[in-house]
Order: sequence, then C-alpha cells, then structure tokens
Amino acid sequence: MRKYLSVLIAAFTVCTALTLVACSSTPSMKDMTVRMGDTDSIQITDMRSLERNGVLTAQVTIQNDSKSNLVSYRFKWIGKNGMAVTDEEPWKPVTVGKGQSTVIMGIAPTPDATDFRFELNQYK
Amino acid sequence: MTMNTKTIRLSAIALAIAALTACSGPQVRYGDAKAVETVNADYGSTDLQMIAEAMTRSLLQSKAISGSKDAPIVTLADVKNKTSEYIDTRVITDKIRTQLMKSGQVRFAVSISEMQNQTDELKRQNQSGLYKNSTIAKTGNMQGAQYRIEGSIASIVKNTKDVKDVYYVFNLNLINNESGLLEWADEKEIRKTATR
Repeated sequence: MRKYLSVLIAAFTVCTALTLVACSSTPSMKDMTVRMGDTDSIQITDMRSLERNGVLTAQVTIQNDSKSNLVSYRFKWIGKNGMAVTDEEPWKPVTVGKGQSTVIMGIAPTPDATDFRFELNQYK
Repeated sequence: MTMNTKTIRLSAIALAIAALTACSGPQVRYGDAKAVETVNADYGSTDLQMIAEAMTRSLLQSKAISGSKDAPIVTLADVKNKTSEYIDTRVITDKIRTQLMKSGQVRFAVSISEMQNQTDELKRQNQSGLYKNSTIAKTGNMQGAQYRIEGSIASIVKNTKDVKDVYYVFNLNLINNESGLLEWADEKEIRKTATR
C-alpha cells in the first residue's frame, strides 16, 4: 500500500513539473505585448506565429473597443539568449475604427529570430 | 543729471535683454527617427520606412531567396516615380538593399548607377601601371547578378477645401535576368488623409 502511495506521489510530482514547464515555455499574449502611452482601448484578441520558408512570421489580431484611437505598432524580433536580432523597427500607424478588429502580420528580418514581442504605442 | 543716469541705466538693461533674447535662438532637440511622422499628407519618413520594411520582409520570405542554397546575387534596377511629387526612389531601393544585406540572405552586385565607379577603379588599378601585379583586381572577374529588383511608386491625390486624401501604391518585382521570369512581386498601399 505504501509502495503504491509513493508511486502515486511521484507520478503527481512529475505531472505538476511537466505542466509548469509547459506553462513557462509559452508566455501569455499579455506577456508578449509591450504597451506604451494610452493604448487601453486596444485589445489583443489573438496572437500566433509560424515559421514560413525558414522565417518566423507572426500574426496579431487587435480590436478597438472604445473611441477611434491613433495607435502604432512594431514587432521586436528575438533570437538566441533573448537578444534582439536587429535594431528597432519603425513604428507603423494602424487605423482601427470603433468596434472594428484588424489582423497585423509581421515577418522577421532574419532567419535567426525565434521569438517576438508585439509593441503598441499611441501617436500624436 | 539724475534723469540722465536713469535713462542710461534703463537703456543698458533694455540692451542686455535684447542681447539675451537674440542669443537664445531656436530650441533644438533630437527626436525619434522611427516615430510616426504626421506633419502633412506628403510623402514622408514613415512612408519610406514602411515601404522598405514591408518589401524587404516579403522578399526574404519568397521562394526565390529562401529556397536557394547560396545567397543569390541581386542588382538594383530603377524604381519609377509615377507620382506628382518629387520622391527620391533611390533612397527606397537603397534602404531595401541595406536591410536585405543585413539579413545575410542576399548578395548584391553593383547597380548601373554604381558601375562607373567600379570600372574607373578597375581601370586605375590595371592601366595606370602604378600597382604591384599580385595585388591588382583583375578585369573579367565581376559576377553577374542572377536577379534584378525593379518597381514603381504611384499615387492618387484628391483635394477638397478641407480635406486632402493621398493614396500611394508601391510595387516591387524580382526578375530572373536569364529567364526574364518574374520570381516575386509585392505591393504596399498607404492611405493618408489630412483635414483642416
């Protein structure tokens, strides 16, 4: 009986550890978004990435819940050891009307990029 | 006498103030070169940056570039300005070239506009008789480009008393020099509206 109990405890510990590892390897959309200025009216509803022809491609869906807002965005492409693969991208303006959503695509500048961050900023 | 002293003092103060104002000059500060520029609806730095980035990234992902074993050799042809504005299209292609070079996926052969400098240098080394033979860059070893990049930028501008609407479309093509086939093409659209 004691043997079974110890096996059960061991199995439970392994499962918990695996879950924690899985959680830490996939950061949430909130963790992957950097907000600057007043961008509270913009919600990020979806975020995904895929390697296409050897280059990391990201897709972010944003939605504007309140009044029309002038926001700009850029991607930060990250390679090994969390280093940015190139210098900063220019801010790109995006127009999303009230209640509208839009899909933003980003392609990494080099095949070295393995991860990304999505940066939102207001302009004007 | 006292009146005279007062007048002199006052005029001295006025002069000092005037001198200080003249010295202060305009206020100068550095801005963010990557920030969104919305001074007016004309073609601007944000347009240039957005066009170059969109074209570079799309080109890097194309089969012609990502699918080749060695980094293919490409040359820049001209981008035609079909807009009513003066736009230095060479700046756009140079920016695209720099970003492609930094990716390490493409090599560039000298373009037509840079050819004069290249031939001048080869002539100088080979024909002047001033250089050690073993160090001379030999003629006949230049590499031909596999592909060339060319395109155009066009615009539609509409004006009313209070509104100015500008639409730009930038088109870029990658053409195989040997086969004449278009290997990749993409476009970037920009719309800007200025209201009073």
